[in-house]
Amino acid sequence: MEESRLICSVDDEDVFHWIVRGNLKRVEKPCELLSFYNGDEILEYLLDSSNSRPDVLLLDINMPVCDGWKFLEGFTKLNKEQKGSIQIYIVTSSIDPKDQFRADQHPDVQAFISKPITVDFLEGVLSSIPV
Amino acid sequence: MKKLDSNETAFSARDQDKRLRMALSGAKMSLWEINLTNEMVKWSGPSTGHFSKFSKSIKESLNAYFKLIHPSDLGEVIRLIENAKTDQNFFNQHRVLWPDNTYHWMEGSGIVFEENGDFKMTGTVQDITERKKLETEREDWKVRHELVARAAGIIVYDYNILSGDILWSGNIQEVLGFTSKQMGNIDRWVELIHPEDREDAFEKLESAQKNLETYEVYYRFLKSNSKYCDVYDRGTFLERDGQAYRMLGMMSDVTEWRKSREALSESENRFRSLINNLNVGVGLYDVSMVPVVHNEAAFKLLGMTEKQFIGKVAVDPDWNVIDMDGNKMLPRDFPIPQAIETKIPCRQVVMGVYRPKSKDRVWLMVDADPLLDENGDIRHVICTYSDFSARKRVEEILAEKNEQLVITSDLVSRKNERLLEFAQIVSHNLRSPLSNISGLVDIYKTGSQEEKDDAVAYISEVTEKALSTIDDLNEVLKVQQSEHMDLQVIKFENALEEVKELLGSNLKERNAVISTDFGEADEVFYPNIYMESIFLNLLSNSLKYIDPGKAPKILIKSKRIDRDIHFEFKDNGFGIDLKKNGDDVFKFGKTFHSTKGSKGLGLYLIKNQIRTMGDEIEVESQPNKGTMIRIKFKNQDGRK
Repeated sequence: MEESRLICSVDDEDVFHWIVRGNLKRVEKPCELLSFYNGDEILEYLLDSSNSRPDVLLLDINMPVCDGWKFLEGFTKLNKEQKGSIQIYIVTSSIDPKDQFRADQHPDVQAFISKPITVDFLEGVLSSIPV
Repeated sequence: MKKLDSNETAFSARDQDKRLRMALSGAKMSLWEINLTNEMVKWSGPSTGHFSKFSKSIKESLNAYFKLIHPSDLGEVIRLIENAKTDQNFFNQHRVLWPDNTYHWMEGSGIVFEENGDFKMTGTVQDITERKKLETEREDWKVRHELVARAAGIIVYDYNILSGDILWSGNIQEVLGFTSKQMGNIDRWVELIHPEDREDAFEKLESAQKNLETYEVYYRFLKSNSKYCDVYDRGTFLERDGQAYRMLGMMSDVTEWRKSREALSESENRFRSLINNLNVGVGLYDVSMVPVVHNEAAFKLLGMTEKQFIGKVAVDPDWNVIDMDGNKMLPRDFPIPQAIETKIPCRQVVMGVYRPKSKDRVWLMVDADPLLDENGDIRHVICTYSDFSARKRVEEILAEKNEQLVITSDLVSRKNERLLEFAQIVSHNLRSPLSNISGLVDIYKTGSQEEKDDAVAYISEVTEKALSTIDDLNEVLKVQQSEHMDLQVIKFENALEEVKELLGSNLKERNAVISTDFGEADEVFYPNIYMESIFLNLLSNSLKYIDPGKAPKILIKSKRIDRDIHFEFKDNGFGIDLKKNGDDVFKFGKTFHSTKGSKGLGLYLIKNQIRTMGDEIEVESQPNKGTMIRIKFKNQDGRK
């Protein structure tokens, strides 16, 4: 039995979470999805060490209260245990080269992905996680 | 009474002899006799009279007399004596050495006769030294006059008014080509004058003659070669009993002189008309800066009359001269003093000269060149002034245009920046719903009926949101397009009242309290719709971002600081965590609270409007401690 993966999506829009969930259903790998609506919410989750560490984090940039970049600032300050082996993907509707550049420079960001998110992308991401 | 004897009418022989001696002495005369046979000379009255000393010195010998005769005259005297024949008269003038060692002129005359077998000459001798002197002098003067007249080309005339005859000097033929005879009398003179000048010359002559004045006239006079020459005639009259009887004068041919004078005056006229017709002012100044020669443009350009200009030092304190950059120019820095001081040309100096007469400022381009003498000292300074005003005006227009260009280019660049920003906003905010729709469609294609239903519901929701975003962007565009809004005086109180009416029910439901203090500055010069937008967006934010159970309290103040009006808007809402969101407060689509209906438009719109007007907006806030928005309406005085 394959181990189930934990995926967290951070976006202020419900529709994004629904699309991620729909896509994950079509991926032939067992996984679980947790939804957060801004950067503060996910940071709070991660700060609580009793919560299980996500394998993948799909992060939107443009969010109220605490946007993607603000979250990354907070994330950098977490300890190793809190960070775990989390793979962070920025998933945004932005195609601004400045955002792309900033993401490329960030050590904790795996990749910069333009919306919409696809089944193929999620397949690839889940396959790349070491067993 | 003694009766006169008829004999008494004649001298007695003794008386006669005595009288004769006296007469001879008075006339400086003497009687003499030469005996040609024995060559002895006898003198009358040797003891007295003019000749007494002389006659004694010659010892009655003819030979002794010969020795006293001037060598040049001796030959003639000897020949006369040798050729003497009986009963013949003779006449001779010669010089003899007088006892005072000067030569005296003697005029002798007499007759040869025979007596007792001897040939004898007898006669008188007269000392004519004084007469001779006068004669020589007169001859000398005549020669001299002739020489001078000849050398000067002057004809001297002597006009006998009574007879009409004229005596012409010898050089007449040289000057006019006519002989004295051909020249003739007064009638001929009149005839030879050019017909056009004749009347004038003759009338003047009559008038001068009548009034005994000097006659002076120019006329054209015919020469023997049938050509006219220009003659200057000047004469004076000799009078007797108030009547002129003789006229002495001179005529000179002044053709060449007149021609050269005309040529000179023509060339001077040409020069004058040349410099007078110049647009450029020209002035020649002496070392004390006083104009020596100048043209009309010179004093006109300097705003002076010719009278003011002439003889004055070329610096007028009333000029109030400024340089190209508008700085005051000191008189010692003017081109003429500079050229005098440095002895090198001072060129292309631009001077803004105030003209007291016309009360305007003229821009002059001035060149001053020193003219040095052979010792290298300044003799004159030549100065030219050209009207630079037109060029200066063009330059000013150019500078103005350039300034406008800079402003326009700034404006364009700012507009471009905003356009780019807007394009990014459009791209981002429309891309977001579209990417969602695309994701939804993917799921719809392969989804279960339940998924399909959900997807369609989401698509409709997202589409709705996209449309709303397009409306918002349209609002933003409106702000950016309305750059040239009409400014008007807006009472803060009035603008607030209008917005309060719009939000009426909402304000009441929430029990909102709005306090104002517009005492210090109750109005602003601003576009009306912008001011309403400011109040509307700030107020609705204050109502939106607050604990629903809390009554909104809003304080609005305005005050004047220098030329600016500072506007403050404070609420008691959530506030914004500026540490986290400081950069994003005024950005489009940035929201800071999870409140439903937040679009991130209000503050972005206000910021855009305020920026369009060149004003400033800033925010001061802490989470849960309300928000303070400050707006500086700048340079209010300059807007009116």
